[in-house]
Amino acid sequence: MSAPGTPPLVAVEDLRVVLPTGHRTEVEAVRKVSLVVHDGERVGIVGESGSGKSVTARAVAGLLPTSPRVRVTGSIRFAGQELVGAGPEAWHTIRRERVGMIFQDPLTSLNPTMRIGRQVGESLPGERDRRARTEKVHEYLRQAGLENPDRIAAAFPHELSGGMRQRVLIAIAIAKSPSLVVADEPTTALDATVQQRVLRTLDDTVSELRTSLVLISHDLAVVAGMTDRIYVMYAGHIVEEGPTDRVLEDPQHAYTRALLRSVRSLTDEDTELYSIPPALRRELTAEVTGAA
Amino acid sequence: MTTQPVTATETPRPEHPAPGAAPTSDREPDGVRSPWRSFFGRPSTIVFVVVLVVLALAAGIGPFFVADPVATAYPKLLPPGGEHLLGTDMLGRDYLARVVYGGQVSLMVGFSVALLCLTIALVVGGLAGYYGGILDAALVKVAEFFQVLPGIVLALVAAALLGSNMLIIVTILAITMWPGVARIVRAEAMRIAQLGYVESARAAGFHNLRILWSDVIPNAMPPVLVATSMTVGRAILIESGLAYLGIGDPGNPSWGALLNSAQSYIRDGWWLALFPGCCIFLVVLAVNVLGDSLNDTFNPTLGRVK
Repeated sequence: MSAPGTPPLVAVEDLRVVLPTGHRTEVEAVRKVSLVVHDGERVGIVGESGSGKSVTARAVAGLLPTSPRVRVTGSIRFAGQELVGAGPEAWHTIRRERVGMIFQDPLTSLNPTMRIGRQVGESLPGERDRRARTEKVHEYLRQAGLENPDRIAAAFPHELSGGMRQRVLIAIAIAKSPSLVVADEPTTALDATVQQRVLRTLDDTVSELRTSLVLISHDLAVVAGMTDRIYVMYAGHIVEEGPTDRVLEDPQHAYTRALLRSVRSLTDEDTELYSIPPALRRELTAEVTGAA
Repeated sequence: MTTQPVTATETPRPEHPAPGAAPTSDREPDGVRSPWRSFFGRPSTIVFVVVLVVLALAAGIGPFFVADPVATAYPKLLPPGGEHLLGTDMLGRDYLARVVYGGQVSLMVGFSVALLCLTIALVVGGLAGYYGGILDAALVKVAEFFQVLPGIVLALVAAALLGSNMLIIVTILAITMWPGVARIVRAEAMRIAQLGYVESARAAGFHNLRILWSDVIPNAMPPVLVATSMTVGRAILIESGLAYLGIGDPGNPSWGALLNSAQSYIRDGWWLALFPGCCIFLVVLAVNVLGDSLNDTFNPTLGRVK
């Protein structure tokens, strides 16, 4: 955690993102979201599909489409530097040196015509000597849990399995020694057993490097074991936030309780599959639109 | 498209059980050697590379060995064989010499036009497809302008104003032929700009031009290479058409020009049309087949699970 007085690593205030959905129509994907990430803190953002968690993360990384119809208002400060309305150079620097992104789909996130070694090497900051570079690439691949890094570095992405590719993406993300890693549903494209191992790797590397982590997931089980604090989002709105243990054990908001109940009905036997009742949906919609 | 999918999938594999080799050698572990190994692993590639190399060598060093192509010292319309391997033409010139010198012109025109087209197409098509928006609209209009420009009329005008030499013909062919390749580059760039790895590259803070160069263009290459290899063949054919209209360097007749002047003697000297015709046929076939195998080799995911 940061010492009092210094600004948190990421401070988002009253963030609103409006995205076009059709020729004349648009949707307010993120409404008045405020969140902070401190140095070395691991933060989870949970919510169902369409709750605005990915859009929030993309806004923080400056990756929303650059169309005049995409409107971002509010404030995003990275280590005290205001980024809403900042020029492309400021974004480039932040993305190049400070933030590592891990996307949902490891199968399409690697350039198929470039060997793994070069793709990892590209994000190494200013290492000119080729041999030292190769060494470092191997080191990061090993750190991301890949055995035989020299073999992996010489391979093309299609020669690796999904889990291995996601580990490569982790290696790419940590190779620049970022202050923040944003993982957007990093394991949804993988099967359950691989999921666990990849998550553990991500957890280990992030803890070892003392990097802050923003982990976005619809899966409460994923977020539970890996984060210090979570934000629960619904319809572009943060409905609850707090230390992970507290939120999971003693949820305050009706939506969080419903979300937890639907997860438990999946794991516990003899329970009918629970889905959020329509009455609660209406209530939530009223709350969110009223609050926004 | 896939001529030999089996060899394509198997050849890169033996590389990987041999680790240690890559990091210890001075060469970068991500060097570009091994695709070539799989490229030359196909029988069709070897055959047509040999064809192309033989024809190129004949055009390149042949002139040191053949007779003078303009000396009319021999009997007219001598059939192939004996002293004159390909016979003599209607004016009594050694036909082998004429075909060899003609190859220089045709191959030069074909390959330099293709290279120019590829360069212009990658720049224009890449920028238009990747950036989109106003730039795209403007560049597409420019490409359309050059595409509807009638190449033969342009060539006639240029020949009248500037005289007809090879440089002018190559320039005019490239000017009228690049939009076809550029369209393919643009379409590919548009598709690739939406893909995950381009977004990852953006998220990693790479600049647009860098992404265009190292992510978009390499992945757009397979269909572009095939289109470019077709351009070689088309340029050779169009050049012979121009030669027929008298636009061309009469001092340096290309294969096309030889073919056209053989027309009136087709009954008395079949070999006059056969040999330059075969040469054009072989070169066009070879570049197309090689373009296709290049496509298969440099697209490592082709025919496999992505």
